[in-house]
Amino acid sequence: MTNINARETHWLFVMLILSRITLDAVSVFVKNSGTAAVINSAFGFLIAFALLFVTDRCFKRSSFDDVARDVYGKFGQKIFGFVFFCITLLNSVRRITMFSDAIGDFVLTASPYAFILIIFAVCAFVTALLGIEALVRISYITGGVTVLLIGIIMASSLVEVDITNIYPVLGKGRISNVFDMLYVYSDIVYLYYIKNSISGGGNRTFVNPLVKSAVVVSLVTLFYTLCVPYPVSEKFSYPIYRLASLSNTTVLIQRLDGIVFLIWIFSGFVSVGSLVYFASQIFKDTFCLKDRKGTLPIIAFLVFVIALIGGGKWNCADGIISAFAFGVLPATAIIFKYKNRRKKCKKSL
Amino acid sequence: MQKISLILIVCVICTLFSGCYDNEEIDTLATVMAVGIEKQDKQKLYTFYISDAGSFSSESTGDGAKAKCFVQKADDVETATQQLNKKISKKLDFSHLSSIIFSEEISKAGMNSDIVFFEKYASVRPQTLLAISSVSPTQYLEKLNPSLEVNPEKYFQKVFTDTEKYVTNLRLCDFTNAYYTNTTCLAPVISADIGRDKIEETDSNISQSAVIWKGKNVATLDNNWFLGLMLSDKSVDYNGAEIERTKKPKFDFKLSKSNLKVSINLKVKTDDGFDKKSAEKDAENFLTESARNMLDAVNVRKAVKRLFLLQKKYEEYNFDELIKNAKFNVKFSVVSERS
Repeated sequence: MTNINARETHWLFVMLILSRITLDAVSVFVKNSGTAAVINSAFGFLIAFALLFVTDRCFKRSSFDDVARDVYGKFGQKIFGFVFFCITLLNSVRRITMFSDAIGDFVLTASPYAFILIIFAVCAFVTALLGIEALVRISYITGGVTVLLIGIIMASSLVEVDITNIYPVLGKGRISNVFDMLYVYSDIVYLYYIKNSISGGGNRTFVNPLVKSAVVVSLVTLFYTLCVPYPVSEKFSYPIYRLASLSNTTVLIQRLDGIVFLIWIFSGFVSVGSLVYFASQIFKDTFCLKDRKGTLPIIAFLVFVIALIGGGKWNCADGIISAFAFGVLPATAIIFKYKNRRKKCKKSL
Repeated sequence: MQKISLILIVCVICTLFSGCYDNEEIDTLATVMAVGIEKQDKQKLYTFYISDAGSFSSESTGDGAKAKCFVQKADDVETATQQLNKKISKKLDFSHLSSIIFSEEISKAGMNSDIVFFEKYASVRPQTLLAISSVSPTQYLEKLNPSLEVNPEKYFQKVFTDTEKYVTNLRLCDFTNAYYTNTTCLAPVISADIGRDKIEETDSNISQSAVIWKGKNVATLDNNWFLGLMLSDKSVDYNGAEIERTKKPKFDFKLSKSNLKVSINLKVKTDDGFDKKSAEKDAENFLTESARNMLDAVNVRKAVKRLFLLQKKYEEYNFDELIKNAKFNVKFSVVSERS
């Protein structure tokens, strides 16, 4: 794998997390905790931070495959890698379906679903073919623009803010599902896959993208809760689109719905492209293939076909990737550290 | 070299996609500026007020009709749109829809079934204004000819919002919010002299407000001076005296499971002839009377949310009963006289 710059890589993960927030992440928070959606998102960030901190300390500079081999053995590593590949494939399918649904519902309303899927699949194939270097550079440019556009949408919907919408402060008063709370940050798991090829940025590589995206996630959730009263806020599948359509500040700043399309295009292409890239990389490393690019046409085709057949039936992918990122991975990392410590103890004896 | 050729291939593919399925020229669209909905027999009569783009051009004299009305009878607005699209050469486009006007009959039966369609329709803005017409919306729209406006869309936007005095206005998103949060909202009631050949700016009037609760028009308010004072910064007329508030009203809620007391403090500037005591009494009577008609004029349901920590606790209260039997106490503090 080629060496990539830490600053640019951070934006790739910010884009991956933001791609969720431009789709349904905020409505998941609202459905879980009502008016306390912002507290839910803040808790999500804190738990994700704690779990990633533990994972990071256990991983140190070891590669993903080394950790898997050490914990599960040679054959176990293959199974672990294959499971991770399947999860990534499912994650790509889920993401491509969601973006195609969103664009089909609001922008290309007369276009067939398959047509929009093809555009995404072709784009994902080409981006993944160009490799991680191209991906992080595109993210570096589009990431800043996406954050700026989200900022414009929030600023323009300021007139709709009604502070009473955030009451009752504790909302439904429950945290229904921890993985639902964390799933927005789950794509950060891929950071551990490319960690060793990142140059610079210090040890805690996850901190920067996690904090940056958590700020945006919390702000969007807060604005949505303030602008749209509960339980109306539960009714909209794409909160950011609702915020944009509410914008009516001046003659110049109104009808910002079009901006959401730009955000969807940027985050959709980058996220689907990078997920397909990660799928091919994981497959290559797990089965010790020489060429990553050879698997790409098959993976892109698989993603397209599964998305076309399954449609919107892949909601389970969110929970699975979240459980893997914040359940299986930290557990594996802790076992890895424990085993290493035992080895060291035996040596010193 | 390989990367450059790949980028070139992508560029070529992109140009192929630009033909796109959704390609629509502006002259193939019929821009709907207002929709009128009224009952006829067992179905509904939908009137689409469509802009005549040609009349906006510099060659136009300005006297001719700036819009054309197309009427379609159907069960719902979706069917009406589809049927009309088949009849006319252009496709109905709602991206410039400014107002939706319901007849009184429809508003009393319930407006939500039509509103749901407009809310789902991506090109319809949540800021689209809603109104109730005391006359037939079809006749009102067919005869409407505002001579001062070149673009009738502007007329609809300004008539509800840019007046010097308080006029109730209701947006599509406000209706949806009120419907799902079980709160009341007010809609303007249009009246016009439909006996004339043309309805000009001065021939239509918005003086009443309709109380909308659970998507239905439950009462009509003739004199809404107190609502105007609470909800807007504009001056209102009370028995010949002009009143204007200087600060937002202060509310104090005393809430138990069986009682609700609402105190309202308003700082106002007025003319000489303002009778404070009778105004306070009138305001209290108005609030008590309208509360009985299910008008939550001070938006109790929303305001008391501050008193709760959990949604579950808030939902335990029967606000319908509490508001019906609420006690109101209004205090005016005259801070200065109007110059």
